[in-house]
Amino acid sequence: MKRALTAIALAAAAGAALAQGWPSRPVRLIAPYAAGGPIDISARLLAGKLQESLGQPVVVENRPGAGGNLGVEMAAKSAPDGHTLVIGAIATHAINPTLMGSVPYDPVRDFRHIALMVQVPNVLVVNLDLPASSVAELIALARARPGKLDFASGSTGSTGHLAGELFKQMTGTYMVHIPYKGAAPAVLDLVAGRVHLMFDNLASALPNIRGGKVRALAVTTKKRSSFLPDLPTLDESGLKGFDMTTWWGVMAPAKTPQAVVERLNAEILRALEAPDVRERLRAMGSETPAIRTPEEFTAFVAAEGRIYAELVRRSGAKPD
Amino acid sequence: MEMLNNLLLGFSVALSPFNILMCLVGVLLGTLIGVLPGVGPVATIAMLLPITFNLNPIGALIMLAGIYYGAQYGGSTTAILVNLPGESSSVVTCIDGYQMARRGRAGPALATAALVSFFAGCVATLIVAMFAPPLAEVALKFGPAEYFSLMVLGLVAAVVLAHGSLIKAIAMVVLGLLLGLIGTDVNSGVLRFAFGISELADGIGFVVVAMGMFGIAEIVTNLEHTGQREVFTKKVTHLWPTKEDFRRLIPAALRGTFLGAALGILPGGGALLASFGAYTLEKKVSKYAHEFGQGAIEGVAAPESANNAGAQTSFIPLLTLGIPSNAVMALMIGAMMIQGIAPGPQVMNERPQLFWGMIASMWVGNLMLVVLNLPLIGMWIKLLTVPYRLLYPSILLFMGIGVFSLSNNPFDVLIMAFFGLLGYICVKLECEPAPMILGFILGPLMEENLRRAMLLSRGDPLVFFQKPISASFLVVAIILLAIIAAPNIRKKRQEVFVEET
Amino acid sequence: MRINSEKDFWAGLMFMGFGLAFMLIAIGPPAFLVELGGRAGWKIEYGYQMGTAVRMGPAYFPTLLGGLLAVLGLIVFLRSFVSKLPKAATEVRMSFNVVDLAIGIAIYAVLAWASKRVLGNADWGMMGASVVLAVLAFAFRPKAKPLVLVIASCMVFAYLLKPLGLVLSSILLVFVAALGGHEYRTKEVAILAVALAVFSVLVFVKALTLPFPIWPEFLQ
Repeated sequence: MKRALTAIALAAAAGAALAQGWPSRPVRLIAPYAAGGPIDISARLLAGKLQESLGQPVVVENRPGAGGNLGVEMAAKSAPDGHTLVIGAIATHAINPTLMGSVPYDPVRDFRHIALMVQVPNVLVVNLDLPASSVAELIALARARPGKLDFASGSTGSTGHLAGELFKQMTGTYMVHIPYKGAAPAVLDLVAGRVHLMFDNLASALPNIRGGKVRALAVTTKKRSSFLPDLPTLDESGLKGFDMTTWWGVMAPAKTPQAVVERLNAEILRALEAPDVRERLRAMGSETPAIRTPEEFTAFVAAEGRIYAELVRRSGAKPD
Repeated sequence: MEMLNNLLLGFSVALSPFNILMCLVGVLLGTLIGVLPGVGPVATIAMLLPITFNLNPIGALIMLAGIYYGAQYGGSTTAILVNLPGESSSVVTCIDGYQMARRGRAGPALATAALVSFFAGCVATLIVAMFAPPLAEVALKFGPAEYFSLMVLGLVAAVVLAHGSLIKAIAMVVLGLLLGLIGTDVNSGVLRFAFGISELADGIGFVVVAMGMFGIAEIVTNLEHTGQREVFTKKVTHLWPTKEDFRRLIPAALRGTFLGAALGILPGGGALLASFGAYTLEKKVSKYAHEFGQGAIEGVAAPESANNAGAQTSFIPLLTLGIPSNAVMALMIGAMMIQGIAPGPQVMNERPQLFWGMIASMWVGNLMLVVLNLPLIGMWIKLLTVPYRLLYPSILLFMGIGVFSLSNNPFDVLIMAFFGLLGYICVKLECEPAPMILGFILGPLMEENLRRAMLLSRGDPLVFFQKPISASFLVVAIILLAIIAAPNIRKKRQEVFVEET
Repeated sequence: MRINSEKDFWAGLMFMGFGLAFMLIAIGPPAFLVELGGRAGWKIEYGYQMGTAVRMGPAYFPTLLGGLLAVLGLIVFLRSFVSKLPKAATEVRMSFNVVDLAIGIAIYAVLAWASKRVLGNADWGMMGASVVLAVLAFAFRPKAKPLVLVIASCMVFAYLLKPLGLVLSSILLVFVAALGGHEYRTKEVAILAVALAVFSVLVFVKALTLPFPIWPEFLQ
């Protein structure tokens, strides 16, 4: 017993000491996605701001691959000294574990979830020529033409895909899923009329909605989006309980000292509130997340994991 | 005329001192990374994205665009000098460009590349200015069926690139297609041919394969033939193309430019096809077809003009539809989003200075590049006289750094070494790497489009012939294949002794 | 039957090998092989779903292409027996033979597996294998020096970059690569190595801000 206490005390002291001297060298922020995408951009925005407050360079390292799992796995296995951080997203921490059968990390236990950065809703958009201008009309159309409607998504297992599957389940309709490599080519085919509808993320859909190239029917979150306040939510339109967002945030390996986690949380939240960062994140369609503390974030990740595990299983959204 | 007003607006923006500076920085940097084997525009632009936060949006985009087409110029330099394609579009330039260099004609090759690229850039900029919106409409008409048929046509063209055995060339193309499939399958999410190695989840990068098959294989084969390296240092003739050269390259450049401009508009990878489509076309119509593969100047003029024209017109889907045609364009979208500019159809109307300013600066950038690169030719020629024993470790080091920097993983270098070995074996067995590389690039795209077309048509294979654009591509492909195969069969019967070079 | 064209003979075999390999992996090995593998402690992939022409599974396209490649390879292989080209044009002049290749691959495989078992990753094993092969090349196959050493230099660089930093690993690369050439002059190579290392640091780390460590980890 005394040994255990000593160990704990030493660890805490070491942790505190570490936090005092932290950061003592450049910090790695692993972005498990390709450069230029929304996650990468927000990571770079954050890194720029964090550098100023931490006093050490914060370097974004792109480690794309395996839908984000590669970079995340690397981070989970890194030294928990606070010098390695990673952007964990809904894909890597809630969807992939079930979708891919197994992932080489535990999304809840192998990480400290430091701060949620971005939450973006998806929007149900349809091609202009489709004879449906409300969710109700769409459902009627889908029921009248089973198997004839195509819905596009940016990739198998993305929130766009799963939103579509959930929609099908809740409305009892059958639509064919057409996966693409990224949202951009999917949107192109949507505008051209080769596919009929899509649950596109807000950032990508907004310009097309405003430009009149597609028609928006509803958002996937429970609360209306402040960017499109006139757009009903799916929850309001008859699909009770529908609440999906795409999210990502900063995480660190599990044994990162508590003091480091708390300091990072404070700094990140402050960076996110800086006007220029907030401006640019809003341009992506993100609203300031309600979840502020690491504990809330961890609970959130765990909850999302359960929701999507169930959803993936039920929808059968697995490899062909 | 409205277009004149727009162009004037554009030039007034592009010629502001700050934007000129940004353009210069961009093209300089682009040329540098284009010349360094392994480091490419994608990595560089990604790293420079944070710097663009604090810059004026137009200036930032001008600089990034400059890096992109600057890299094209630089990439052709290494393709010609050391047979290393810096970008997928320079692969074709390697074929005749390097041969020209071996015959002491590196100067004319480099000059040709620079001049026709400038010409193509000017023409393409004009096309973008005049036809951007209607061209965007054309891009919309290309669905998965059309892309698949276009790629089939492209692959048939790839076979024409080979100057040896036809069957082995086809086999190399198929091998390339298969190797390109390694990685995660788009439609189902299954990880294929990766043996559980997570680094392979996104497939093997083009740069890695190119560096291995072209770079390492070339260096090793050169080291094995000691005496023959002297070919390079042999008397280097004029630095400038002769009158005869000009007579031959001008029509090639014209054809290449228009073909490249047309293909560049297609968001799904059209620009890739531009250079080898132009090469094939040229080989078919040229009187000097027999010289192709040995240093025909048209073999440099056609692909270089095509890829530069394609590079300019590939901005059209970006600026008009907000759709990226390749990885670099995707980064540009990122840069625009950072600046708070939502890319899409409304950019042209809401921000005319941005749109026309960028177009005008493309012309300015091309001008800078040709002014920059022509005098450098003398310097590059001097570089060739450096003893090889000093040159090749340098090339290897830059290749190593470049490949490593792609994802900071030594695994990529391991793959490069594997392809180096494969490339070496292929060279010894007289199987050509160029068709394989093109198959490699097109493989996953072809499969993706094939499956999507079948999905959308609910399994009807006739859809490829029912859609007019797609049908016409397939018909041309069949005709082309017939044209290639026929003389080969005849040739086999007649010239059995002189089939291979 | 005489092999008239060595090049085509081996090229045909290579194509057939690749084609069949891809097909086999895509469709999945026959059941008894999976069992054998299971007993040896390997997890063999079962192959991917074929699907139908409508919904092509992940195995569809590769199987098609693999089959095509195998057929093409067979044609090339058979052609090698009836080729009428002069012997000189079709001789294969490689610095090593098939057995060497097999041995080389085996060395890599064994060392990589061992290193993965003992150290957790295959990096040191890969590098060690390169060094072993380099030594073997010097001893037994001097003509294969260029190939082996060029490859070894890249491996050494890649795996030692993080631990040793850019400067040291660049210098190592240059030395190893130069050993693969013909005219090795120590002083010259040393100057070149240092010059290149300095150049690389200036251009790649300072100017292009690539995230490479310059100096070894233990000096940080």
